[in-house]
Amino acid sequence: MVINSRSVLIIGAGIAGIQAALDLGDMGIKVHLIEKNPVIGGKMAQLDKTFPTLDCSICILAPKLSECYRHPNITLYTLSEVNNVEGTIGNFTVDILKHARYVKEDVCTNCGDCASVCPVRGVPNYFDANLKTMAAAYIPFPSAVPPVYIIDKNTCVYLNYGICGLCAKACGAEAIDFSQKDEILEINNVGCIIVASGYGLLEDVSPLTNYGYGKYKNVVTALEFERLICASGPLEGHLKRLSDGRDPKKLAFLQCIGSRSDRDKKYCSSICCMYTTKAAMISYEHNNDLESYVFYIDMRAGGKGFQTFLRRGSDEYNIKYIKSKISYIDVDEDDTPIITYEDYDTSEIKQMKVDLAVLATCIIPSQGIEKLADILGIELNNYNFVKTNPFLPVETSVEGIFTCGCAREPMDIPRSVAEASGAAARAAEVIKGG
Amino acid sequence: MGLVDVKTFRNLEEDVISVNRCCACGACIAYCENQAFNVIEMENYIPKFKTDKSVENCKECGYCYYICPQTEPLLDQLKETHLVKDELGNIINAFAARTTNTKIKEVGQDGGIVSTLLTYLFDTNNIDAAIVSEYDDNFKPIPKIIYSKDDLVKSAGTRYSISSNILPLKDLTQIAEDIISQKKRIYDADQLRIAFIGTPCQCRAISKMKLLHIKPAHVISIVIGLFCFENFDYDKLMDTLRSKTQRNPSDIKKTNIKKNFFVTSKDDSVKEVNIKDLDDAVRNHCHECDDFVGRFSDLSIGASGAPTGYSMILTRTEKGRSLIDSLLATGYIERYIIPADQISEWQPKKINWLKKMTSLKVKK
Repeated sequence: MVINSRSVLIIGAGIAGIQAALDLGDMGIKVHLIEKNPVIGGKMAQLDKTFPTLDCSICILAPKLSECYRHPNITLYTLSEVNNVEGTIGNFTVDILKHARYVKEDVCTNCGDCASVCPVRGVPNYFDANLKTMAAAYIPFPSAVPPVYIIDKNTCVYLNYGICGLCAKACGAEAIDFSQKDEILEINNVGCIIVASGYGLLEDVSPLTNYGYGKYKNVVTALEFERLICASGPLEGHLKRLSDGRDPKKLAFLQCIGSRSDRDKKYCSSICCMYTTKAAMISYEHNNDLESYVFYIDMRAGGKGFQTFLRRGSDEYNIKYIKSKISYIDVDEDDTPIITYEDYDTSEIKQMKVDLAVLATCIIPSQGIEKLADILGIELNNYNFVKTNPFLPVETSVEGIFTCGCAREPMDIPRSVAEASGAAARAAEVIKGG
Repeated sequence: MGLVDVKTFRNLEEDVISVNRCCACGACIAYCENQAFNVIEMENYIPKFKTDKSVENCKECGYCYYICPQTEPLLDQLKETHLVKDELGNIINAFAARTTNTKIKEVGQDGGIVSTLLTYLFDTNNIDAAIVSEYDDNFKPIPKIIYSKDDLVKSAGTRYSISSNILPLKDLTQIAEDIISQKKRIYDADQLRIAFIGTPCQCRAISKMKLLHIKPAHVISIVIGLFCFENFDYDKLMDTLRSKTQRNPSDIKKTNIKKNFFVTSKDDSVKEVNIKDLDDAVRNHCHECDDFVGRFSDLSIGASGAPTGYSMILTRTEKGRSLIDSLLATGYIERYIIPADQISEWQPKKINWLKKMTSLKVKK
């Protein structure tokens, strides 16, 4: 099978990377899927529901995750990053740095005995937007793929002090392997590469101090809110104020946080108008007494069924849209956020007290994209997203290297999936027809 | 796996407990029982295997030996993380202060700072609980977890015999359940915030546990060290006091040391006991301890060096400093105003005094 011996390397196992991998795998093309996190699924796995259908995010994603894991043509590399790339289209050689998991992937039965005996506490769970902490032996969420625990090397007492080893003693399958080391894997004969490295969020790089984020407990980011209303999240879906546990009655959603601003990111974050409406709808479904206020500059609903979705929000879900510009947030003595804003309709400066304020923070290029672009030799645009030509949206500046999803610009899930299939088709062309 | 050299409770018995170096802080048991390993227990201030059979239950994880404040491991790392370079440890600020709370003034020892500090932390919803000690009916100090400032009054004042303050953490699961059922804010036991108040040796154990990020000490949000020159064995202390003052333990209301040992009875009569008469009652582990001021803490507090009615406060970490600053700013405590002619020499003098006390402690 000479024709199929050339494989495709996909960087990033979020919804875009996964879709591309499945498309290619189903065409009989070997795929190497690289993910820097211990589990695959990316940001989509963290979401509660998706717009505009209000489908459960993980319910749509989970079958794709396990299909990816079981697919005979897809090899998964978690905790891995691309270290070096040589060669050209049709024949790249890629060095992968695979970090030690300290748990044998093919032996672990995902029983959790290691985590229950591990005495270490306080390892932040990135999957729960750091709202929850874990033991040093952990799995970010119960249905994660691969279903394999991981040991946090920064806090593991055995790895740092040479005592303990409780997890290894507790593991009936003998899957714990402290002798694992970070290793470099060389992959030869890679026909082409798809960059699906996704996005970061503004809170990763900016303290958002204008809005009292980090200082006031009842000011949260949109991703944190997503975890808070999610049934598998830290509050088990029962929305509470983080300062005192009271049920909120009034929510504020603040749009364009850090985006469309000369002082911050100049571009539109693209998905926030829609996910904010979605989040307000779900909150209303949890509690019909809830009022939501969306502070917006413009509502951007350029997608199939999106405008109807917004209309439903105001007609059926008690969402009030206020065209405005936020000045700042402070709190009263009860930790209740007070939003100071200019109402664009009346040009007045007004204040509003709400129980919980949610910041729709800007999508930014993923952390490490500059290094990756350097390794691949691809160009980035002036915002550091992967540079593409408007008429060839999945092609980068290097022949044989494609891109899709939020690695190239902020976009929603349906578009990421469509682009992933597009990139997969272009990659298949190189492998099969090239 | 090369775990052959891990020291276990057997080594702890050999190196610490059997040679009377155990300070009965309860760290080993708090850890082990919290893990539900069912191996060791505290009996009359001595940690021991529960039964001969429980020896087999030992997981040989080594934590009890590592976190013991009387063993060598982790001390170097601890010194590094706590910036300890000399006998007094890291000091950001050193000054004297007293409470402004009249209720605490009545019951507290000296400046009443610890009680006021906990009141502040409860008032501002910065802690969910605190570990303090109280006297039982026989004037025996017992560790106690308190959940509100109303429970504070009973715990004010100094103890002169050991209270195993880390021990209650063995029941952290139950404690967490109690708190979570009362407070909706918390959605995860790991989010609890408990203030710890203890002697330098107890703070050392807590800090060792915190260095390893292990439960049950992960819920300790602030570590408050108390100056400690020495501590007495409860039984021996009571025997001596009984023979010297003809007072039964159940009659005692308060004790304090000001050069000599003073016993205040419940009828408010005061008896003085020569401190030398109590030498035999001093716990053995105190003889080799060189930590007078509680180096491994966020802040330490004690009467030594402070003017009458005040306590000395040493802030050691950013957390400790900002906490004390808030207490001063909100008027919970007031600073001792140094007389104008002593301003330049006051602090160096106090530091020297604490150094002298430390060296006296070591010599003893």
